Amino acid sequence: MNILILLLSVIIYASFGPINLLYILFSSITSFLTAKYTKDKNRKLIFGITIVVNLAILIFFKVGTYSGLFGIPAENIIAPIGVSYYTLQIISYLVDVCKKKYEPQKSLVKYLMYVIYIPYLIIGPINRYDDISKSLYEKKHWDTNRILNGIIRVCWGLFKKYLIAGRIAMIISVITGNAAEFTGAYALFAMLLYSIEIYADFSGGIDMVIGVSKMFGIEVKENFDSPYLSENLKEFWRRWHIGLSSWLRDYVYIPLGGNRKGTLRTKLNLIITFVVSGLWHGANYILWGLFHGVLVCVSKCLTTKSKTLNRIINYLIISILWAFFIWPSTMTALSMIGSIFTTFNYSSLFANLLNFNLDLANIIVLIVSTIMLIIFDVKKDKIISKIKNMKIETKILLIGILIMIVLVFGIYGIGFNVNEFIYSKF
Amino acid sequence: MKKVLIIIVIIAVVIIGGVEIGVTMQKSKTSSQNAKQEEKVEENIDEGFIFNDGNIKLVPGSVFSKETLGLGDEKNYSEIASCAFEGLDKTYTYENYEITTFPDGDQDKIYTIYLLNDQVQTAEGLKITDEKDKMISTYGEDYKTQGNQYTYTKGKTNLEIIVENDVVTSIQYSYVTE
Amino acid sequence: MKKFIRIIIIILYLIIIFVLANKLLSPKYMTDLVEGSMIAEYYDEIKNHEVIFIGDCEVYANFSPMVMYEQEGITSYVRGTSQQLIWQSYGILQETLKYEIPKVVVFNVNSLRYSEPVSEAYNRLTLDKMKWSKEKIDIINASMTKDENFMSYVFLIIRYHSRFSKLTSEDFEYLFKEKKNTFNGFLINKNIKPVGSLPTKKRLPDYNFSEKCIGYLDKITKLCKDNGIKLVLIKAPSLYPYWYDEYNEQIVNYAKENNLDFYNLKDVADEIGIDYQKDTYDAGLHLNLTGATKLSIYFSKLLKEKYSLTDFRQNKEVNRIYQEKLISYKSAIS
Repeated sequence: MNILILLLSVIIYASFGPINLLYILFSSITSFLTAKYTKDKNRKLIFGITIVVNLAILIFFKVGTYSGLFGIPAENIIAPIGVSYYTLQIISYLVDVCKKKYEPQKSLVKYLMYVIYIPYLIIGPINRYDDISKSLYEKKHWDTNRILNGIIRVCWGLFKKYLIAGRIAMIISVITGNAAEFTGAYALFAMLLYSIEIYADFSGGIDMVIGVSKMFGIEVKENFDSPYLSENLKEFWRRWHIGLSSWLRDYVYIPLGGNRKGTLRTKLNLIITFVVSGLWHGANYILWGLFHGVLVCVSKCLTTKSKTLNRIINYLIISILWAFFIWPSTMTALSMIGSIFTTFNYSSLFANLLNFNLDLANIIVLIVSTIMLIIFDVKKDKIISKIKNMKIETKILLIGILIMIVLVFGIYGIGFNVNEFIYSKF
Repeated sequence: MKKVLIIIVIIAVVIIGGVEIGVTMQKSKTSSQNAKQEEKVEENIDEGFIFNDGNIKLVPGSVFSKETLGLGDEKNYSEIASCAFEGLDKTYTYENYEITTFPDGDQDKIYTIYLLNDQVQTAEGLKITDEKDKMISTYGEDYKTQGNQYTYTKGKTNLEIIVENDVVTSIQYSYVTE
Repeated sequence: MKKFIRIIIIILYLIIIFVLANKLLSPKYMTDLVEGSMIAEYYDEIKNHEVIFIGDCEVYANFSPMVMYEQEGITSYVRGTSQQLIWQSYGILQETLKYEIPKVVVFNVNSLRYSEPVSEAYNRLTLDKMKWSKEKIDIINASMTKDENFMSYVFLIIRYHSRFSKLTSEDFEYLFKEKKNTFNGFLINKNIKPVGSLPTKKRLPDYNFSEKCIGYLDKITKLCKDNGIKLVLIKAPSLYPYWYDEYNEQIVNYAKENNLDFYNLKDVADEIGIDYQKDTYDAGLHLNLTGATKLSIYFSKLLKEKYSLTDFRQNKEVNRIYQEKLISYKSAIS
């Protein structure tokens, strides 16, 4: 079974372009050999070299795809799929083995499974070897309930991605399509919606990864913990993209000294960590990381006594900073943030609400599905335990209903728009 | 080990910070140019081939309006329906050229401009009855062929030139819809 | 055991809901875009046709089997659909031959000019309501445009799910029932739009029909020959899109080489009596009811003379059915 999963992963991965496989094999094999054969002599040096080489590859692609590097234009540099995820997994493995936190993996096949396991290779989350290895290598057995739970999780991910994220993307594409006209209220509107979109999209993808893995009996760690319910940025980063944040905490922030070297160093360490986080997302997000770092440092000043108010403030800050993700050009993003405070075209925004690619029925679907997402996030534990205790037939019914909802209300395929076909040439 | 990591991270941040600043400055130039272009979306079509008849400027893909373009009344007008679906392709025939439009929302946009005789020429100076060599010297060798037709693409427009016995017999501008 | 039965029941329920949703969201083609319903109307006809028409809108708008029966007692059916491409005509002919072997197959050659699928929407009109068969699978594979996928023809919901916000009363009224929109495949259009000025006849880069299209024409020819059917090629008397002389010449030669008959009906438009100021509904592309009636009278005579067809008016049983059809046809055209 394990071999089968690995083989399948390799085939799928290679189907994105065989060249991808070369990079990932290079990284996996160098790290595997380093971990397995390095004895105590020169230990840190050898591990250090392997880490630097792998990190260099990641940085090359992160910077290269943005601005071009060594005379190679950006459009000719194509990053291997999942490089951001597997490199970090490899580094955490190397650091932990070097510190003798756990024994290195002896079998190359098993180690490759850790690196190449396809579901989390593409969109994460970033897993630690010691977290995942047990369920990854365990002998798999059939468990109907577990499989159904996995499918439900996948359906929920599809629901978020195709009902919510897909619709918001249509709205935002109108706003970003005309950056000169849609500023001020429109920009804020886009940012507030984008918060939901990126959450629905990313966490929906992770739901699918976790669900599929569950079906195989592999326990992938949660990557989100209702992040928008956080009351300040610091808390947000404990609940958002947990795989990455905890990685950065353990392998950047703490090695830098963490909070043990005085207030000033702590803040500096925080900021550096967030800049690294920005870089990890891509070279053009460094400013975004920097802003987050600074704001985390001062997050205490931004809290009030009211929980709700805190959440609203926090949501606003996060949304505004997503501007760097909405408008790829840093300058446009900055000017959009600025325009929120200078352009007050709210009446025009409200008058135009029905002109963003979505008709009323679709807006209602968006609102209802978003409310469902919020309810789920608030009452997560209760809902999950309820679903887990459902009878098998109820679970099947739930899956069927979810699939139907996604099939009908999801945004996918060519829409039936007769207008598109009006024009036919003879 | 810690020190190694710290050094790596700091070096990485410095290098990338430098690159980032440099690139941001470069990008800020282009993005302000972009912003200008975005202000005039219509003008983007200018990047393609344009046909001029005196002061009248015809751009494939732009909105067709006789008044704003300064066109007079056409010599001939016809509407062609497509079978089963609604919507009309309209053809306006003038003395020296013929314009076909396509419906795009509420507006009609220019789909093709077909030159009817050698009284008019392209902005670059090619006209019907010219020799093939002139076409090559005017537009170069970067064309696609289909049968007798040579197609040059620029922006969202095609310039379709039919050459028979080494002589240009047909010139058409068309808008690339995809 | 009880549990097992419950699971089966739930799955059955889900399948029923899925089928219903699929039906509700697919276009019905009953009052809007009726061209999409034509392909399926054939299936519950009594299959005793001696003449089958295949081709694009130039057949279903121009040839009225009812008139041809009334005039000469010819039983015929028009299996034309909008923008029917030649590989679609071939598949539809193959499908038809599974039900009946006519004496004559009439193919309108207009579609030879298209060697690539024209648009997804036309594929839908021809294929959505077609019965599943090997031919349908072949047609889908040959007709899909970029961005289309096969599954969206199997489960129409994949294609039409976004119609949930655009459902009309038609979708509910015709959820389970259907109505006939044509008379043996002839779609009545009574509007008049005279031929005005037509666009300039542009020069074409290449007048030769593609190998692909000629290949399919060969297949149609062979299929007819193998089944002892006389294949008749026609060009309907439409003025636009232009039927170039270069096109015509190729068909004339093809017919000669393959021992087929070819009639370019535009050449005899005067003889037929077509008045392009009165007999077309869209300025020269298609004939309207009066034009189609004139053409059908002319063509039925021609068929009867040349291909020794049976006069079914003498056959009591068939005549009874056709007289009924004629009554409703007459009331539809008046």
